[in-house]
Amino acid sequence: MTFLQFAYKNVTRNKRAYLAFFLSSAFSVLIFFTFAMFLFHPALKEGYLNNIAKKGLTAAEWMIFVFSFLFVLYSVNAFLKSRNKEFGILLMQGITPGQLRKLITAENMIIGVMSIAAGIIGGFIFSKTFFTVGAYILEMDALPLYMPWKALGITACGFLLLFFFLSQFTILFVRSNTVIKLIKGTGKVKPEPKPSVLLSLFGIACLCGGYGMVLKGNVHGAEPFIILLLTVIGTYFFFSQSSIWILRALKKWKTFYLRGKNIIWVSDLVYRLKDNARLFFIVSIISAVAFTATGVLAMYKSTVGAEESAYEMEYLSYSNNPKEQTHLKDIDHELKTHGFTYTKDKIDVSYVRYQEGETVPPVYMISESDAAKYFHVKVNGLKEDEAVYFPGTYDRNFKNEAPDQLKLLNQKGELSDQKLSVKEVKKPLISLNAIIAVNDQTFDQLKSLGDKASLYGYSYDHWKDSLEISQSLQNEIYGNYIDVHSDFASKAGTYYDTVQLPSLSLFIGLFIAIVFFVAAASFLYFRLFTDLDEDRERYRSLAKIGLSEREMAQSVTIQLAILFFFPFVIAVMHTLFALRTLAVEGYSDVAGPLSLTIGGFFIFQLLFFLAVRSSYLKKMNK
Amino acid sequence: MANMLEVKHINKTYKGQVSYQALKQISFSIEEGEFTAVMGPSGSGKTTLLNIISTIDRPDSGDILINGENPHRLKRTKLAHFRRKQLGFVFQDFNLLDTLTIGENIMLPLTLEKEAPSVMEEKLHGIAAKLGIENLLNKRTFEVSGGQRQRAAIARAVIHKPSLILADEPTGNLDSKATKDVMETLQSLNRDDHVTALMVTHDPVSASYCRRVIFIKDGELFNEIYRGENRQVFYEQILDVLSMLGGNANDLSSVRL
Repeated sequence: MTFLQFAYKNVTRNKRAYLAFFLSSAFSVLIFFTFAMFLFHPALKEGYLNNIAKKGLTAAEWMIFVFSFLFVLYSVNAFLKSRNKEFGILLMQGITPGQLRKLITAENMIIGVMSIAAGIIGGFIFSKTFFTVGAYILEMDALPLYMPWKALGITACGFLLLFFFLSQFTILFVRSNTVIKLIKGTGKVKPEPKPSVLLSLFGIACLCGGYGMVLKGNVHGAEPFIILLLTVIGTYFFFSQSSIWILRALKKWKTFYLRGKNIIWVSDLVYRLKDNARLFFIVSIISAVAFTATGVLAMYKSTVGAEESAYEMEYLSYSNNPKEQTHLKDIDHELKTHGFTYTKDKIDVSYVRYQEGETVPPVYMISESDAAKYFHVKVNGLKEDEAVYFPGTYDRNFKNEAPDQLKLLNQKGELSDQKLSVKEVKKPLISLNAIIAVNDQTFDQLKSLGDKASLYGYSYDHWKDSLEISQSLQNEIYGNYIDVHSDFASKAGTYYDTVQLPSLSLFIGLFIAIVFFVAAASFLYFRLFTDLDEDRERYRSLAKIGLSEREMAQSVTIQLAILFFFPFVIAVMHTLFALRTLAVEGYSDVAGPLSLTIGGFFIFQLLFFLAVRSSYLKKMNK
Repeated sequence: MANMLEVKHINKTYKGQVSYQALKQISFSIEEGEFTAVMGPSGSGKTTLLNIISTIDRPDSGDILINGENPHRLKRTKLAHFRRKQLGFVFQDFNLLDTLTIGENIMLPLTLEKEAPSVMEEKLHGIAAKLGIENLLNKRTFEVSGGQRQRAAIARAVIHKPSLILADEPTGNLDSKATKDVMETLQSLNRDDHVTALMVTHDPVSASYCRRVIFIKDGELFNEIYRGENRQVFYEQILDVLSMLGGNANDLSSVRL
């Protein structure tokens, strides 16, 4: 038996112990590889959309790699700890530190190579789903599978290096001067965690402070930052100090503590909370961010409707625009060469500003008859000083903020004595800006207050295919943003900004959140199973004094449930408060998408909890 | 004969909320080819003593010399080589690796030493034949009995011909038949191959296979006795000392005198 054979036998004959380590590594590889495959997909090579998508995906890929590093490091650590006795025996037999390092390296490389292979194969299978979903969200045709040499190379090399360097670190975990401790266990009883009362109160105070500021309402200036800081600090101390402090207080409540199995799980949970405080902190913050982001993005997506614009492309030319004819020719040319059959409307518009508090927002004034002719809205019977207000499609959320009265400014920017009262607020007509319609006489009277501009509207079918020309036209018209005498908006461009981009962020955000969620659950799993032997001993001795199997199962279930759902509950609380701030800012419709996200994660967590619980109990009863 | 092991003025205190001195100025020596047992009541410090001699624990003061060398002064790698060449270990709970077969466990010290596989096989079969475990070599550790496991552990401890075998309660987990097998194995290794061994035990039957028994009590040397020709007589002598060790003066006078 040579040394390498020894390492090989160690791995292959102790499959169960290595299985968890192997699976978690393979999982990391799978996620990384799938993402890399998506990132390097040939179909994603060109185009504006794909550039931003790529940046997002690259950032996500980095995060996943960093996370993989921590994840594998943690797995290795937990795994090595469970093998202390074995290392002790080897050290007694005179293995040198160098040889031990070689052994651990060899083992890790064996596991590493196997998990890379498994992860890549799994990634191939998984990526079909991923491509379909990803392409659907990015509104592209389903991406075909391809032979991803580049992704393959990066994944394999990256993870091989990762496993190699981690092995070099791991030798630090096993120090030869503690042989007796390795063989016999430390034998030391862990001292009971003693939370500081001051820090416990500080943590709770921070949380209450943060939440209180949200409840107070009107969050502006530096306040969001302060709230964030308070919440993060508060969460940390809440998990590391306050929660333990509360449990200890629970212990003093004798009628509860000394009743049935409470004494078992409470006393045990103190240690587990202490051990996992940092993990809980990270998980709850990340989950809260994921939930909030989901809420915000979903809300944003559901409230902005670019499709409501009457035209597929809108071009506004001011009176002093020298390039008007060039731009119009370009638009015509682009649309024609790309095979769009279109109709073009030209509407006379007065570009006026009105006073609203400190600001002087612009608005397009059109005549009653034009509104009827081009937009098919009937606003008959307007009196002289009355107007109908149509917000821009971007402003739809802020319907309530439409002014009641428009104090118009003249061309010099001074307040004129002309006032219009808003008779009615209707649905948006175009994306570029808000429009007011007035009766024809008033229009003739007032149009000199603003700039005499022309609004060109283009209508055609299949506008989702016109993203590329829309974007190139937009770049051309705005040029370098100096001396711009026109405005341009397109349905495809707006749709991309308001629907596709948020969807992509949502997709990436959710993906990362899921990864962290799974990781956190796996960490817990590792923690639990490293301590399993100790637990089994304890429950066995409790069984001897008459603890029934049912009571044992209940005690385990309560503990596991707290470990799995405690951070989750905190994250949901954070999310609710965070969204409350936004609700105050004017958004309202959050409940739907949010409860969907949280519900999804909850079910996910619940399944994980049930799986871990049943396997834990099974091993416990052995 | 030269001293194989010299123990000089060893002190060891376990620090904690209640400090406790496990060993007080222990000194003795063991000659090459001796088979010695250390006995004493629970908490007398005998396992601590063995752990210090076997280099897996450190003394607070005092020196251990094995073949004239102090292993506690060695650097880690040197210490590993020292353990590998000079020492062999036998434990109460065997400490065999479950992932390996019995044969592979026995070969482990040679594997670490990077012996040629042919040499390993040869030595393995030699020692296995001597200990009567030849037919077990391809079995896994959980497929054989405790006595067989302990004999495998002994085979592992001696396969590389160390200067000193250290055994910690080697019969602690065994029944009387297995105890007899294991002790006879150790005895024959000592008698035929001149293996030097030091064993900690609290079982007078096991101790009676040795040539010399050192008694310690409360971390100090208490007494030592040597064996004559008859094991049965030696056993009686050991019991006598143990009764003095364990009981108080009244027990002694009424029962034994």
